[in-house]
Amino acid sequence: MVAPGDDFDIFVRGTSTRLLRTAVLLTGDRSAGEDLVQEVYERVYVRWRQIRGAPEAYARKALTNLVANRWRNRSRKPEVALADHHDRPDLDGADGFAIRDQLLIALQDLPPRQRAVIVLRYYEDLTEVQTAEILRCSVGTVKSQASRALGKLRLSTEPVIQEGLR
Amino acid sequence: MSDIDLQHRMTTSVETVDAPSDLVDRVRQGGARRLRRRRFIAAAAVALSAVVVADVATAGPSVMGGRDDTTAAAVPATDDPYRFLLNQPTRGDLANDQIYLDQVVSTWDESHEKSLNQDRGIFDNLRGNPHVAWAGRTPGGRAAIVVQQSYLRKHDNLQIAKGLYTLIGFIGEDADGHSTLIADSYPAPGAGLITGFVTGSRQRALVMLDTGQKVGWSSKRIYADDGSSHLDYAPLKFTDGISVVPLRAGTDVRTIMVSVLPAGKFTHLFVAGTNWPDTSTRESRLWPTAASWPLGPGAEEMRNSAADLFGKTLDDVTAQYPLLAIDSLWHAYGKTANGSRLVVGEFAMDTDATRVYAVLQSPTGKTEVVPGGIPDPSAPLPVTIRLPNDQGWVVARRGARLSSRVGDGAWSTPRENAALVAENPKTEAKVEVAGSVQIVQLR
Repeated sequence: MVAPGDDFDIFVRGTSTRLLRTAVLLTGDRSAGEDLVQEVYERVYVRWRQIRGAPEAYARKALTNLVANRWRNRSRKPEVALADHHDRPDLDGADGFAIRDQLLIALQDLPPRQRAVIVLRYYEDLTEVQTAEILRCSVGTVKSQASRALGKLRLSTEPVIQEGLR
Repeated sequence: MSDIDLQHRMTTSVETVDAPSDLVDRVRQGGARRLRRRRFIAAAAVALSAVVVADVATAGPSVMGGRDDTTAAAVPATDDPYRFLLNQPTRGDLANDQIYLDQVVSTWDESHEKSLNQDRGIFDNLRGNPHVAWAGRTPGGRAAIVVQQSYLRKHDNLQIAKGLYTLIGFIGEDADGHSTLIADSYPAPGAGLITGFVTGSRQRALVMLDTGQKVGWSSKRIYADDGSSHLDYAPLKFTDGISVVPLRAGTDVRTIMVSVLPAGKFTHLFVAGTNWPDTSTRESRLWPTAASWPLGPGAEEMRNSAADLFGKTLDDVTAQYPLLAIDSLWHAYGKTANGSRLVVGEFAMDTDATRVYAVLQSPTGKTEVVPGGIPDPSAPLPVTIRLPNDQGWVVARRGARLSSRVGDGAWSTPRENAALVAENPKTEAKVEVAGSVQIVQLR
């Protein structure tokens, strides 16, 4: 097996920020997102020559699966903290931080599948069919999960957003 | 909030996040290591493994790049949740059993190489001596909790602010009575903490650390006749900083849940040794591919809403939402004789078996869940649910042609995959699959 060449480096440099941002939205945590993105690219590295089609799609699917596995295996590496704010998003301060923080927290309060649907549909801008394919579910499930998630997000984020706009 | 608003807000939320500049180098390093590992395995170089391990053991510290840290200032991290265990004397009824305490420390010391966390580098810069925070007898044998400080730093697969953190090890006994590590953990950013473990081979016990919160445990989810489900949490009593719960023979440790009380949606605490399966490769659904099965005239208008009605109604009757919810990929839907909307599907929670349900919504909007139990995939009709108020039966089998009749009457026109069948003591269903026919009495 031959190690990937420059094309792999170009691919990583061109897609890593986008993939990391998706990972942060999916996990609510920058450090965890970096861990996952690095693992995704390491897997892509190993399979670089075998990947057919767009490697971005492969990487996005791998990331979604890794996030799901991370959640599913959390009895071994769980995601609920003992200490206050231990697992809160760790974004650098900037204007409007509270609003962004609130949205990230609200995303993390969604069940994982609903969170994934929201991020893939509304951040990655995938179609319902593409989202269903990545999540291995029906288009109907994508629709219903998105509907439920949007309802919860409205309830949990809008008061703060309104306050922030005053 | 419109779709565009949400997209804008998510984009804004992460607009300051940029990939680290050294990512390519780190990925190449990690990827190359993975390739080497694959080649090594492919070559089945068992005979060489001892040599390789010896090389790594000798060259380890420099390979890991940890030498600069051995002299780093030992400033305890401010967010070290296990640290309180370092500062207390050993507790538990074996606290004065020095022979056992020495065994625990040896087990801890010898466990690092095989640890799931070994390649995160958390054992590269251990500081001080291991400290047994608790050691005691349990129905599952002797058990202990050991802690040790480690200077953690950014590693290939560990993103953490440099600092002195406390690692924790949960020690139990194997079938031969030898001490064995059940799990180790560290305060990973973005992750919670393991605060207990299940130990024992024949008899078992749940051992939970006192974290100052009111905590309860549940052995399994309870499914009621009305389709609802819940977890009954029994409060834990802590003595010497620990709660020990004997587990009855036959207890499925995978279904044990621990929660801060009162239990809510995100109050779970995490327990090692419960052997959760790797669900990423496990498919527990009855029918794991997407399908929509209209049950007759009038069903089509429900096509886009059926899954939502099914999922939302089951959510509403599910107390203490599970860690893992496995939604139905198929739905059968239609209208019953009295005009109620009907959706049938499956739903599984955590490690429990999948269950089938019928959801009814009356013309007034009132919903009702009718549980169909755990389906038997090998049965002629894996889904057979009797609907209330003489609304008939709903039956389903993927890939089958289904028809019904009452007594000696004529068979109805066959339907694919699922059918709504009239209520009558003499009703029977015909199931045709790949040329074979089976008759099922619906009683």
